[in-house]
Amino acid sequence: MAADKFEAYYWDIYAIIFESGDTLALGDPAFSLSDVDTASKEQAIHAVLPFRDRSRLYAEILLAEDGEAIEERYAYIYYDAGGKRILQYDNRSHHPEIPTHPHHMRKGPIPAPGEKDRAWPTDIEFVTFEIVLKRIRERFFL
Amino acid sequence: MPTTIAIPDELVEQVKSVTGMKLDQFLIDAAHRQVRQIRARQLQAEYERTHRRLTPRQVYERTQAQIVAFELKYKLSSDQFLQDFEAGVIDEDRDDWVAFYRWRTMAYGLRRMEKEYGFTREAQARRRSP
Repeated sequence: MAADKFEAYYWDIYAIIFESGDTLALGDPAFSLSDVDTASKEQAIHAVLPFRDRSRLYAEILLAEDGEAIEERYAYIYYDAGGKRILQYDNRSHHPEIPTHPHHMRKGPIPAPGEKDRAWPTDIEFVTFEIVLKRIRERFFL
Repeated sequence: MPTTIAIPDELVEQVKSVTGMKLDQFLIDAAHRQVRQIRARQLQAEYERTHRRLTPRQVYERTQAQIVAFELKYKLSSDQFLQDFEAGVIDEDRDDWVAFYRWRTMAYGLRRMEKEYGFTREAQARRRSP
């Protein structure tokens, strides 16, 4: 039963990607998305989504074990066309000081060695693939 | 006996305008979800027609191979990596910022496959050895 839910979530993501052809460069050779078998067995989704302006989103998603559409562990890292990080959402639990812990975001380029990569409270209440993609579209493509 | 109360026209108009707007959005969202579900089913059907499905064992072996590559590269077991990475003992790899997130997702995925299908890395190693 949970396997069906994982597959349903996977196909939902696939459809979201499919309907985002106005911003995503689906023919770009860098485009990648886990196959459905890996997604349903690993209960995880890996994706590299190139945009038409050559920016790029990396998505790492581990779904909740019961198959519900909850992204239990995630990282979304968005880079500009030159490979500089623009923003990152993740819920690695190493920032207990952040009010939205474990959910947090980073902004701007990856800092130089020795500099701190400051974490900020996340500006997304409930992170899902759809919402992150929508947020990027609204902020950078509209 | 029913109770009658008077509601100012102004309030009625306010409620109508808010509800109307929300109702419109609700209907648009609902229609959008419906279209997406149809599209998802079409994509799935197309995939089923054109691809051979992988067995759990095949997925496990592939994931494990990728995890072993990470372990060799970073000279760290996945269990230790997960513990250290989650706790912030180790940070992202500056040369490949995404790598540790990918490793993390796959390592949890591998654990889940071991739990679900009873696969073990030891058994896998035995299968490989002559």
